Amino acid sequence: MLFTALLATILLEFLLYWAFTRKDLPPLILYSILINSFTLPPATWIYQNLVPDLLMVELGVIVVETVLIGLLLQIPPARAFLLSILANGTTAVFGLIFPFP
Amino acid sequence: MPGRTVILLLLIGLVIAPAAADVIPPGQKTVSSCFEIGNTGEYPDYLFIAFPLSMSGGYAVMKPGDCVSFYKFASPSIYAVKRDAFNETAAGEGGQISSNYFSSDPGVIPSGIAIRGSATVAESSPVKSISTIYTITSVNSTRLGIIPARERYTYTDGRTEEKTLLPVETTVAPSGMDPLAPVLTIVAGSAIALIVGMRVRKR
Repeated sequence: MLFTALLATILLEFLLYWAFTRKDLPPLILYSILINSFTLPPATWIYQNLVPDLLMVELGVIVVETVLIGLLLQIPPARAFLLSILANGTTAVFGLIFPFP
Repeated sequence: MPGRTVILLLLIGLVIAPAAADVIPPGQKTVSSCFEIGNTGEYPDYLFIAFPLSMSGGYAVMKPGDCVSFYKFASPSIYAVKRDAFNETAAGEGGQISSNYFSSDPGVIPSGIAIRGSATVAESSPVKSISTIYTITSVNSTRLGIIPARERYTYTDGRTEEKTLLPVETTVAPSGMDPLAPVLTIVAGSAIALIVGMRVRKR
């Protein structure tokens, strides 16, 4: 279940990274794997065990991913922040509409 | 590009291998599950509330005969609140409620139990759904005692069967490490190590 969610998040965020930056595909999918592998498992655990508030957890993820996106995609902080909001907003809405069984 | 492709495949394997442990085991299937409290009527002064039921924090006031389902990642707990102390209007019946209410309101009595999500059975099993029936054993101003007492199985042919669970002294939320925590730590740790490694190499 977590694996399915992680895979879907990686694919969705990869598409958004590409749509936003139009950089080469292989590095972008690699960055999406790394970024989401770092943020999604702890975020899920934090949501289940510490902070059962989706908005708070998503805000934390947006901040962390802003830093990672900026570092890896080498884009300015403001654009990284915007991309992080866009990516996490999209995946959050996707997850709420299509909860994996 | 072959070097990059190899790294990519290794990374995918790194993610898939541990995370695959969370996938339904071969030969098993997921069946719908829910939980209810069988003896809320014995405590008429209290309301028993399950929270959170969804990613956005939904809750349900448990009523006799109501079997409550929840989103698989939610892992709700059950709380008791004095009937006259619960401001249902402010909270919004069936709607959203702040997690701060359950963690900091002095009128909320925690049980400490953590109800886990979907149930799996053998692929060939005729079980269609499983209801877990909890029994309240005690309520005082600081602690709600509650245990899973029975399971009711509904079969594909419409029959139902109820079985008593083995007696347990207490059921408590995992205070130590979550069983999934080592896997999550490895996945997240590997990812951040690789990110840092890539940044260092670029410099």
